[in-house]
Amino acid sequence: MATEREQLQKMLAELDYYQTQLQVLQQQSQLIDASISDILIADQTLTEIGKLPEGTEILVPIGGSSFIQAKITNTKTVIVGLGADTSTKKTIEDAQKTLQERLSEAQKFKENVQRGLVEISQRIEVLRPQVEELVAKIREASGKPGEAKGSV
Amino acid sequence: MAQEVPPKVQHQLAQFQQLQQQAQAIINQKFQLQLQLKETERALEELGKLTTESEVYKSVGVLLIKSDKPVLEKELNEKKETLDLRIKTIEKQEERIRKRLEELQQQLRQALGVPTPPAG
Repeated sequence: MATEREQLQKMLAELDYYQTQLQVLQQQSQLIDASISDILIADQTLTEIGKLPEGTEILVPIGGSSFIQAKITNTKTVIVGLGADTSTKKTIEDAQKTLQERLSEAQKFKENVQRGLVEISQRIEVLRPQVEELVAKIREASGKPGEAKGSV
Repeated sequence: MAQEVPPKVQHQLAQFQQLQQQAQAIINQKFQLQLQLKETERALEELGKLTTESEVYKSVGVLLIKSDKPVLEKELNEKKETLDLRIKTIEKQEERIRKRLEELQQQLRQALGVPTPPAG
């Protein structure tokens, strides 16, 4: 009996660990999705800007659904962040190459996270019925329903 | 009837939990520093691909201020050195806490009569 309870505690701790891992991976997956979407928007914007003649009037968002009117004085180059508070001027073509590299990195990372999510979900699926079975067994043996409660 | 846990053991348990939290905080801090280091190294690598005449900017708040490639490289190299040093310091701290946790775990096992698992 004591061994079954110990085993249950161990399994619950394991389940808890997997559920935490699952949450972490889900958060990471959301962050990568946001990052991918950000890269795609930037890429699309660069493609469109490259087609515009210099001096085209645009509206620049300043937050609060408000915009200021501006004119693009240069449609050939763009400033791209390199990380660590550093940016450099690149041609639209080079900037898009950089964005494509970042996109494929983000997609690779997402694939890894997705693999992790599937793996951990499978482990939880295997473990959960085992825990439920053990809880039922302990309850039955003790003859007091509800005594061996575990948040499964 | 559950046995009362002696005050000394209770104190050790509390200390153990506190140390575990500290260890977790240190691991998180180290992870953040390692991310910053990786980002700095990557920025240096990208700067290395540019010519000295390339236009480079430094972010200050929401502004981008025009700078020079050698100046930015110097700043980033200094930042890299500082981060390396901070990571080394934090790794030493982590090691100290890990050793203390092992000691406490050993003491708690003895006090609570839990057999020590075989090494390896």
